[in-house]
Amino acid sequence: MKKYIFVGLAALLGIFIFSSHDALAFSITAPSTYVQPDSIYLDQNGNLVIDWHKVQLGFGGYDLPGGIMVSINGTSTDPELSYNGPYAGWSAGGHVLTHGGVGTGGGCAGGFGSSYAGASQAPYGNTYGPMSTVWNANSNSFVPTLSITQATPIYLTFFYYNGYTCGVGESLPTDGSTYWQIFYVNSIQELVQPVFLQPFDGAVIGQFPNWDFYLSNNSTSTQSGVVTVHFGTGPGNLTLAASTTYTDLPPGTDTELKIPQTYQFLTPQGPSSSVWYADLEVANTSTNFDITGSVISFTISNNAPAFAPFPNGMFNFGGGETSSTPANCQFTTSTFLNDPVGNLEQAGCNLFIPNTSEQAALFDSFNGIWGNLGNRIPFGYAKIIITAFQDFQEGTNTSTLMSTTTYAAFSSVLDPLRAGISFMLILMLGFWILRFVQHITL
Amino acid sequence: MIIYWLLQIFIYLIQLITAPLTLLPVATLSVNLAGTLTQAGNYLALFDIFLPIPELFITFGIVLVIEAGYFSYKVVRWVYSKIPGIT
Repeated sequence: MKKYIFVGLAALLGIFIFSSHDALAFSITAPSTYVQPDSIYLDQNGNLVIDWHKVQLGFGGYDLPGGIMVSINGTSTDPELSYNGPYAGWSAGGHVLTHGGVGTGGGCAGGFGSSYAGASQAPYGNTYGPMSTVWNANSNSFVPTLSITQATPIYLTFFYYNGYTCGVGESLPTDGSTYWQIFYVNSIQELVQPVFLQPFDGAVIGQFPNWDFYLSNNSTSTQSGVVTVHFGTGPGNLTLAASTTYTDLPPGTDTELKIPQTYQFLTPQGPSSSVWYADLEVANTSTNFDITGSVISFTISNNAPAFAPFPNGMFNFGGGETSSTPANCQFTTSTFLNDPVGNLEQAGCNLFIPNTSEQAALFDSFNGIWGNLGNRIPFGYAKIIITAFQDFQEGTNTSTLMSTTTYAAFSSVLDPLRAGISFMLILMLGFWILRFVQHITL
Repeated sequence: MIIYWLLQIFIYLIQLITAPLTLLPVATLSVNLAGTLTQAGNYLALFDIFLPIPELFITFGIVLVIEAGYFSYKVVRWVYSKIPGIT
C-alpha cells in the first residue's frame, strides 16, 4: 500500500513541479492578472452586492483595484459607457474600493495603499456593496438596483486607483483579456417573498374559501404594499385577479394573509375537474418594488375534499433559508402571582437553555478562536492551499478539455465514474487506516 | 444560563490553550510560490471532470497528517527517552 501512496505523492509532486515552471527564476513570462467577481446578487433590501477577488501571479508587487464601475443595460459596442456617466469625478455610480472592503462613493479614498508585494492578499471574500443605485446606460441616469432582474446584463469594470492625482488609473481585465465583462446576478434575495399555502402547487381540491399565502419579509424594515393573485386557465392566461393590501409587515418574519375567494371555479355546468393556474404579485409603487412569484397549478375536482392539507417541507422561508425557531424560553408573559407554574417553567428553562443572544455570543466566541488561528502558521498554509484549489466544485466544470455541452452529454458516464473513483479512494483510505492501526507500535 | 457559562468556560479554556499559537506570524507565501499553487490549481482543474481531485487531495491530506503525526510522536518519544534518568 505504501508504494501506491508513494507513487501518488510522487505524481502530485510532479504536477506541482511541472506547474511551477512559470514561477521559477528562469522564466520571465508573468501570468496574467485579473479581477473576477465571485458572486453578484441582490440582497434582502434589493441592493446590489458584488463579491470579488483578484488573481495576481508573476513577479513584483501589485495594486489592488481601487474602483469599480457598475452599469446595466449597456451595449457591447460601448463598454466604456461610464465615461459619460459615473466615471467622471467618481460620482455616485463610480465607487472607490478600499482593501477588502467598501469605500465611500466619490472623491479619493482615504488611506489607500497602492502596492503590495506577494500574492494577492485575501483574494477571496472582498465585498463591494451593497449599493442602492447603478448607472443605466440606456436612460443615462442612475436607477434603483431594485429594477435588476436575473436577465439584466450588468457591466463591470475594475480600475486601478491613482492615489496621487486622485483620479482613475489603468483598468483591470476581468478575464485576462478584456477590461469589462457582462455578468448577471446569481440570486435575488427578495425583499418580500410570497408563498402560496392554499391552494398550493399541485393541489387537488374541491373548493377553497380563501387564497391563503405567506409573505416573508426578508428585509430589516417593515414593509407595506399590495399583493395580487393572478389566476386563469393557463400559465400564460392569468386574466383574473384579486388583491389586498399589506401594511407594516415586521422585519424578518413570515406573515400569513388571506384574500377571500369570490370566483366560482366549479359550476354545476362545468367539467368534473379542471386545472387552474395562479401566481402572486407583491408590489409597492412608492419604492418601485414589484416581484411576481412562480406560477402554480391546482385542480378543482368534484370528488376532492374541500380543503387539502399543505404538504410539510414543500417550501422554504427567508429567501431560500429554512426558517428555524430560536430556543428562547417563552412560557408565559404573566406575573408570578398570576401564573406561578409558567414562571417557574420559564425560570427553569432559562437556567439551562441559552437564549438567542447567548447562542450568538457563543457562536461568535467559538468562531473567533479559529479566526485568530486560521491565518497563522501552520494552519494559514492549509488555508492558502484550500483557497487556491477551491474552484473544484462538482458539476461546475469549465475544463478546456471538454466543453460544457460535451460534458452534459457525457455526464451520465463521467459522473458515475467520478463517484466510483471517489468511493474507491475513500475505501482504500479506510483500509489503509485500519492496517495502520493494526500495525502501529507505540 | 448554566449551559451558557459551561460552554463559555470551555471556550475560554480553548482560548487559553491556543493562546501561544496566536503569537505565531501570519502565514504568507512568496509571489512565486503562490503563483505556482494557483497555476497548479489551473492544471488540475483540467482533469477535475474525470478525476475527483478534491477527494484525491483530502485522501492524501489525511494520509500525510496521520503519517506526520505518527512521525512526530516517535520523535518526541525518542527525545524524551534521551533525557537522563528516564527509560
